[in-house]
Amino acid sequence: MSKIIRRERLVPNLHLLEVSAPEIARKCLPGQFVMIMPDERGERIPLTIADWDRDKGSVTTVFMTVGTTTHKLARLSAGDEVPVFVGPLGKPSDIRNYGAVLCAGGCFGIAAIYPIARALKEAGNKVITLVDVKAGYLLYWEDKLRKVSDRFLVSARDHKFETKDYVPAKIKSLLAEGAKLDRVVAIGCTYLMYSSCEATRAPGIKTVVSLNPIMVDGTGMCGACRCAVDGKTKFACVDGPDFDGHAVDWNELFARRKSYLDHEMKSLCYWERTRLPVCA
Amino acid sequence: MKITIDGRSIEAQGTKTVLEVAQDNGIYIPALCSHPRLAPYAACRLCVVSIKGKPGFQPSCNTYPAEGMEVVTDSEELRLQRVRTMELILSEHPNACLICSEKADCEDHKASIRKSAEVTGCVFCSSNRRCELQEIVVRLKVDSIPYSSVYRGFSVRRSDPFFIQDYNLCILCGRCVRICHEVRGAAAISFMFRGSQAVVGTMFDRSLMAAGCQFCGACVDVCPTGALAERVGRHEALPDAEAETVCPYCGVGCRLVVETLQGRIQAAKPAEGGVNRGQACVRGRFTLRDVVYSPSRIRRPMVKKDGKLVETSWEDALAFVAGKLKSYAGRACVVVSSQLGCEDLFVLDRFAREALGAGGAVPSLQPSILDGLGDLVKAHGLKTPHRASLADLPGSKAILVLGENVPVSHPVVWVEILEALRCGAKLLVASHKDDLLTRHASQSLKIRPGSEFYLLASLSKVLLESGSPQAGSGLKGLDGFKKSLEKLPASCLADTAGLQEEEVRRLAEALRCCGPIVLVFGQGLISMPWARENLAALWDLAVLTGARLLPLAEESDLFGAWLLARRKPSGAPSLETVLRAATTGEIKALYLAGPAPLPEKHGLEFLVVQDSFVNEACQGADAVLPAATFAEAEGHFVNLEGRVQKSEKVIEPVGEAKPDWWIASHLASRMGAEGFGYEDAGRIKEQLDKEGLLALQEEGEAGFVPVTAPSGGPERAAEYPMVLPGEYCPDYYRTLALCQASPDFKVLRNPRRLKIGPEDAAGAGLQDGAKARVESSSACAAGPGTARVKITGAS
Repeated sequence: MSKIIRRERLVPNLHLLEVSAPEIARKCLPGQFVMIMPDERGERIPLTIADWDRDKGSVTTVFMTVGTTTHKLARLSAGDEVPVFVGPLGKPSDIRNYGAVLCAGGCFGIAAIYPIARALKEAGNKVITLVDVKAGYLLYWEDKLRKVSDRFLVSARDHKFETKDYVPAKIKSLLAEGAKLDRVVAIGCTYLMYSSCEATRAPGIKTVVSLNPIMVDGTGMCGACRCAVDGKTKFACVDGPDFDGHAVDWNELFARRKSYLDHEMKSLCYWERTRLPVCA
Repeated sequence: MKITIDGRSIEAQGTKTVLEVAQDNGIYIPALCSHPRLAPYAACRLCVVSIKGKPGFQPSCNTYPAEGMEVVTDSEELRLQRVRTMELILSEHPNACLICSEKADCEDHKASIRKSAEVTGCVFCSSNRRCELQEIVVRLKVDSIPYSSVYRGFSVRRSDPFFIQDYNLCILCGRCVRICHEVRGAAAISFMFRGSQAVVGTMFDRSLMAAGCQFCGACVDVCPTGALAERVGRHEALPDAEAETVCPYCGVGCRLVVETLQGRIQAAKPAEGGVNRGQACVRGRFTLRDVVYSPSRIRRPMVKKDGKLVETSWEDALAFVAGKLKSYAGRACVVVSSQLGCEDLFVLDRFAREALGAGGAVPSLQPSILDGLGDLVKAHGLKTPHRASLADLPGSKAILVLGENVPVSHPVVWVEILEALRCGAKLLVASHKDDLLTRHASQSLKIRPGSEFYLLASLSKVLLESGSPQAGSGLKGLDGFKKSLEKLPASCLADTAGLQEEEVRRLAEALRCCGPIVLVFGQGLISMPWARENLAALWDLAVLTGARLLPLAEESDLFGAWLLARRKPSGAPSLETVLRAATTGEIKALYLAGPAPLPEKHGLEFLVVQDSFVNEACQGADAVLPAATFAEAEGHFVNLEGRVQKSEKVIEPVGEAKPDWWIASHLASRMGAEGFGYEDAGRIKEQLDKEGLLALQEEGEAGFVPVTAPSGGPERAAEYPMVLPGEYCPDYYRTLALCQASPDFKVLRNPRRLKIGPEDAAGAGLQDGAKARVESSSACAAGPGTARVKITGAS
C-alpha cells in the first residue's frame, strides 16, 4: 500500500496526486510513469510522473478525471492509501543538448512535460514551453514551467493570452517567425500529439511524443498497449512511452484507444449510480 | 390581423407573440429564455427584432402583434446585436469548444472525454450535439469571444437523485425556475443572489429533496445547456433511434419518446403533443430504463422439475402448461394486471373463458372506481354523469378533489389543475392531511379519514336546501334522492366528517359558482367498505351541480380493462372471490398475469405465473412464463379520459420474453380453443375495433341515485383504534415496485414509511425513524386499502 500525501484539484477536471513512494522517487527519471490502482477492485492505469522529491520520498502525478478509475482517484484524500503504485516504468526520455527544444503540453501533459523541460534546460537546451489550455482558468503550474523555460507561451481559446491558436498552428507561426526548433516534445491528449506531429512533419523537425494507449500491467506482459511505430509493433510500456511521432500509426492508436469506450461508459455510469451517495 | 415580417404579409393572432408567429411561419429568430409553456420573460435578449415606429430593438418573445405591424428579424445590425449578446452569454459558459478551430476533427477523436467529471468544453458535456447554444453559435456564426472566460467554480451537485446540477454551465435563462413555478407549481428552485453572483438554487442551499422537488424532470427537459443532466446514462453516446410509447404506470397515459442506443433504452422524455402536453412525472421520466432492465426480469420460461424451477424452451413450457391446465378446465382462474395493453387483456380474457372455462380474466386492481360507477349505472339504469377530459380542467371554475393525493399519484393531472388555478379556478380539497394539494387549495377541509360520504351528502343537502343550483332540477330520481337524504340523521353529516356546518356551507357556496365544475376523485374514495355509498353521493353531487367527473384511473389500462369487462356475463368473479376460492381449494389452478396477494396456504394444485419480473408468487409456481414489457411489444392503452392510444414497440424483448397476448393465444390454441391464431397485435386490435369493444357508449337517462348511510367497518374499533388511510400511487409496474427497480426512486419514495401524528406516535411509544408494527382487522385483497389498525412499536 502507498500512502497519499496530497490530492488536490488543480483546475476543473485535473488533479494532482502526491504519493509516498521512496523507492520510485529515488530512481525515477523524466518521461517515466507509474501504474496505479485506486482500490483493490479497480483497474490499473498508467500515470506519467510529473515531479518527485527524492529527499521526501514522494512522487507526483497529475491526472484528468475521465473514467471510473480517475473518478475514484479524484475522491482520495491525504492519508488514504492505494494498493498498487508501481514504478518507475518505461524508458526515460532521451535528454541531451539538442539546441532549441519546444516542449508542448496540454491538459495533464502540462504537468507531464515539466520534468522533461527541466532536464532539457539542465542539459543546456534553449527551452520554449508551449502550454495549451481551453481557457485561462485551466492553466496550472505556470510558475514551475516558467522557471525551466527560456520562453513560455500559452495558447488559450478565450483571448486570455497572446494566442488562441491550437498547438500546431502556433508551431507553424513560430517557424514562420523564424524560430529555430531542433526538436519538439509533445505530451497531452492523443489529438494534440498527433496534430503537433503533422505540423512538424513538413519542416522535418524531430518530434517526440509520449504515447498513452490503454495499458494493463505496464511491464510488457499483457500487450494491451501495443502500437505500430515505423511499421513495427511496439509496447508503449517497455519500448516507450516516448516514440518518434512521425513514425507512429496514429489511426491505429486512435482506434485502439476507443476499443472499450462503451464498457468504460457503462462502468462509470454504474459506479456513479452505485457508489456516489444520494441524499434522502 | 395582418402583420409584415421581413416583407412577408402574415396572418397573426393577438394571443401569440411575434416570436411565435415568426416560428409558426418558418422564420428563424434565435431565442434562449422563451419556451412554449412559459410566460414571456425577455431575459436573454437574443430574439430582438426591429419594429417600424418603435425605437431600438424589441424582444420578439415579449411583443404581441398589432394590426399592420412591420417587423424585421434579420439585418446586419440585428445580427451584430445578437452576436454581441451571445458573446456575453458565452463568456460565463465553458465556450472553448464552441469557437475552437479544431472542433470538426476533435469531435471524432475525443469521444472518451465525455466521461469527465467537470465540463470545461462541449466535448466534455452530456448535451454535446443537442445543446441549444451550439445551434445558435452556428446560426449566428460566432467564431470568437473577445472576453476572458469566467468559470464560476461551483461544485457539481450530485447528491440528489435522478439528475445532477452543474451551474457552471448555466446561462441564467430561467427556464428551469419558471417551469418549476409556473407549470409544475413546486417552486423548489429560484434565483439566488443578484447581478454577477446570481445563480439558480434552493432556499438555504438545501438539496432538491429537502426543497420539495418532485423530480418531474421538467427543468431538465427545458434546460438549453447541459447544466441539468440525467444521472443515468449521462456519459453514454447520443441515442441512435427513438419511438413514441405510452407511459405504463398510471391512467393518464402520458406519451413518451423513448430514446435508444444500439437497441437499448437510454432515456424517456415527454412527447410534445398528446395528453400530457410535454410534461411527465418522475416515474415516466426517470424509471422506465431501470424497470425494463431490472435484474428481476424473467428471461426464459421455467417449469418445476423435482420441486425446483428450471429453465426450458418455450415449446416445452407451453406444452407442459397447456397439458396441465387442460385437466383443470372449469376449476381455474386468470388474474391480469390493468397495466397490460388492451390486446393482452382481450386475449387473456378470451383464454380464461374459452380455454379454461372461467368467467373471464380478473383484473388485480379490483374493484376500481370505474367498476363502482359501472355498478351504479347497472343498478339504477341511469347514465353516468358527464365525464371530464384533462382539457376540461384549465377551463373550469371549480375543481373538487377527493380521495387522491393528485400531485403524487397523477402529477400530470396536477399540472392541468395548476393551469386552471392560474386561469382563476377555485381548488377545493377535502383531505385528512396537509400536503401540496391542500397548500394550493382555495378551500381545504380537513375531514376524518373515510368520511367523504358525509361531506358529499352534506354538500348536496345544503345545495338543495338553498334551492340551487338548477342543473339537476327535473331529472329522474330527484325526489328519491331528496328523501334518501332526509333519512340520514342530521347529526351524522358534517359532524361525522369532523367539520363545522359553516365550512360545508362555504364549500357549497364555491360549488354554486357559475361555470364548469370538475370533480376529481381517486381510488381512495372506494377504499372503505362503503365505497358504493361514497360513489352514489359523488354521483348525485355531480348531477346536482352539473359537474363533470374525472375518475383518476390508477393503472395505465384500467379504463381499457373496464371497457373489456363490460362484455362479461354478470357474475364474473372478483379478485377477492378468486383468492378465497384459491384458499379453500374451490379452484385448483391459478394463472397469474398480474399481482395477486396469494395467501401462504392455499388449496391450489397448479400455479402459473406469466410476468416480466420475478415476484413472490414465482416461489410456489409450477411454471413461470417471461412476458414482454410495454416497451417490447406494440399495444393500445385507454387512458382515464377514455382515449385509446397506441404504444409502439421500442426494443426487442429482453431475453426470450414474449408479449402477453402471444403466450395466452399459444396456450389457448394448444388447449384446443379456436380463433387464437393471432399473428400480431394489429390483428387483435382489428377485432377489438370490429366488435366495438373499446368504444365508450354511455346510453340512458341522466338522473339521481338514492344514498344510504354507510354501514359496517368500525365494529372492532376498540381493538383497532386507528384508521390507516390507504394511499394509492402507481409506483409499480406489474409486480415490480419502482423503489425495487430504481435506487434513486427508493430515495424519493419508500412505501415502507409510515406517517403518524405526533400524539398517536407518542401513544404507541414510537419515535421518528422507529420501526412500527401495524396490525389490521382485515387485510384488503389487493393494494393498500383503508383499514382499522393497531400500531405498536416493533423491535
